[in-house]
Amino acid sequence: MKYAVDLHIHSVLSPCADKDMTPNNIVNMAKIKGLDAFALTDHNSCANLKAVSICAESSGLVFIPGMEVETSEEVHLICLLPDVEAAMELQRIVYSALPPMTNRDDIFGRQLIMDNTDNVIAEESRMLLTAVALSTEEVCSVVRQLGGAVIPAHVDRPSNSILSNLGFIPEELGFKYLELSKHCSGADFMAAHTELGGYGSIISSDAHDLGSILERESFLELPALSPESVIGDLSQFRHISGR
Amino acid sequence: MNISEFSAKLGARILTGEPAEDTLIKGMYCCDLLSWVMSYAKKGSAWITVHTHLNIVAVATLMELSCIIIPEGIEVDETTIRKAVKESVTILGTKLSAYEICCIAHDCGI
Repeated sequence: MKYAVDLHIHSVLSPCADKDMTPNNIVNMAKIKGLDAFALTDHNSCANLKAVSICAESSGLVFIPGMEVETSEEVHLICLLPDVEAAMELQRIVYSALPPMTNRDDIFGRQLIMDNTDNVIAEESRMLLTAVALSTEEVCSVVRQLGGAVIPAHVDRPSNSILSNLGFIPEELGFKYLELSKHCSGADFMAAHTELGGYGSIISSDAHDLGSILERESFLELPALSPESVIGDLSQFRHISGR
Repeated sequence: MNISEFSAKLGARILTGEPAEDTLIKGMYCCDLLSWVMSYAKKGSAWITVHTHLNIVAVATLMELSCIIIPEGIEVDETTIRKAVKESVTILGTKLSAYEICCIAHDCGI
């Protein structure tokens, strides 16, 4: 069956996100938009996953814990994990690879950690909006060891994308899907990049404000609706003849 | 040497309005990985990068760089220029390559 998903959404923990991106607002907007499943993917941190997962419990939506990791090559990777515990382990590894810098909220914005009633319980002081000392290969390897899946983020963009920063996609990284931006024509992009013919494309919102969260416009064909089935589908590498 | 004087030496275009006369170029830094610049660029340096993303303004502000120089005739996004004007960050645009810019900087004693 086809399920509507948005696998790239930021909360108030991401310094560049709108202050309305609170746990309850994200879950309720995802529901209003008619999604079946969504992921929270803040920059280099999982600190709001717990609150969002509690909010999502009674929503009828499937919630996939995630993180948008910025690799040492400044490539953004959407990392999706089977549960919050696995995500927190990824956070531990990523935090230990962050440079010892403090966020300047006057330049980059605040990094708020919330509980499931949208109260601010802490403010992350680490500089999250920068690269971690882990290569693209290392991040893929760590996430897969934790039972997760990786999607290269916004490959159609001129910055922080695996195509712009590494020039091409190393085949051995074994991606099944590439993420395209909301306003990118998937058909046109893939037609212009015939070398990417073996990959599937998936549109995600990269929402930094509530209105940008996808409606029922990006679908995955799944045997059942659960975090495991979403990650299972994203993990299998699809070989298409001609690659 | 201040920014206007160095811009004239390069034959560059100042994309962001007249820079402050007392902002001096104290060194040169050339790098396209923003995270690297955020860790290692020195205050007062002029920064050469092919990036034109909005984030270059935040990086220049954070590291207190004297100006940003965009080489090889690369067009700079209007949103980046507007943000730079707002934050009083000077952006120069030139047809020269990063290497040619550095050679001229060296000749100027920077």
